[in-house]
Amino acid sequence: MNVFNRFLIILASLIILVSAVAVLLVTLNVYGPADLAPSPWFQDRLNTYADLDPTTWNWTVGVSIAVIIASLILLLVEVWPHPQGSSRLLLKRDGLGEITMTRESVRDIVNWEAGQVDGVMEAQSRVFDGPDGLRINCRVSLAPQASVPDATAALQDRIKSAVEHHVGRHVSQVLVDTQLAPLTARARVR
Amino acid sequence: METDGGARTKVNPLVLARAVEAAVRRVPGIAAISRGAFAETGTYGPGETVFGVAVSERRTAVGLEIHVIAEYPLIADLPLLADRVRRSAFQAAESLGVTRIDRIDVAFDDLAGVECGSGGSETKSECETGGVR
Repeated sequence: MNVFNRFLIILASLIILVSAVAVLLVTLNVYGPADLAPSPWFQDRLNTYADLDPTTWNWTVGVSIAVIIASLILLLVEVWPHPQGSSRLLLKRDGLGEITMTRESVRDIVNWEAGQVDGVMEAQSRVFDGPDGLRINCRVSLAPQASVPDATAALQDRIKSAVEHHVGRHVSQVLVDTQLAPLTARARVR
Repeated sequence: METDGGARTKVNPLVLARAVEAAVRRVPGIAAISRGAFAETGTYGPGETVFGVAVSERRTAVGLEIHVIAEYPLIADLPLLADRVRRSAFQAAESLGVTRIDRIDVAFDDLAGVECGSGGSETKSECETGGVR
């Protein structure tokens, strides 16, 4: 998701969160509409929740709490740093500046190298940047006649070697997950 | 290009960006200049934009940000390829009389030639037969 979309979602979440909190506070009689509303228009909207019948009161409180929780979760998901970290990897920083590459390009290298190993039909990978180096999780689909231990060992060696050589960053871990079923939904070409 | 009493040389950023872009394109192992992976990067001028090379002028020096697409398989590791890009950019700038460059950031935004065999969108056998694309 690009930055603009994330900004819109964060903004919408904040608006919904503030509105739900205001409604809840007015419904619970913690504050009156005039205390929370910045203008008469908002006050008129909040007046609706000031004196509710018991059934509607219950629903309003329940829905408000649910909306508050949902918007908080959405806000946290959007604001919290993605577990994979930044979308760019720093390869080198020196007196002349920085050399970076996209995380997606590292994934492409891993997938390409994995695809060169005998028996590997498809590969999908994720790359994480850790304090001790890059960690790579690679999921592969193997041909039925392939030896899983041999393919796994070959994949780990090849991926680690290729990434360290081409990217210039230490690879601390290569986890390989194998399966016989295709990774993509499309049927295999025979 | 203007000279400021001999103290420092001012450069038209567009001219510099164009020269750097042309030089970097010729570096072996570089497939193309990238417009930027997540946002467009470039040097903007009246009626023209040089995408992929951003020139930032400071008081006594110039900074460059260069976005490239490398060919895969790589002919050299990426840090070494980046050094070649920097050298090429320096030479292009020197030819315009710009000698004070204090920063050259190189960003590899993509790799060309790595799609087939990646398994992300097609199987290895489809790649070999050239089927899906």
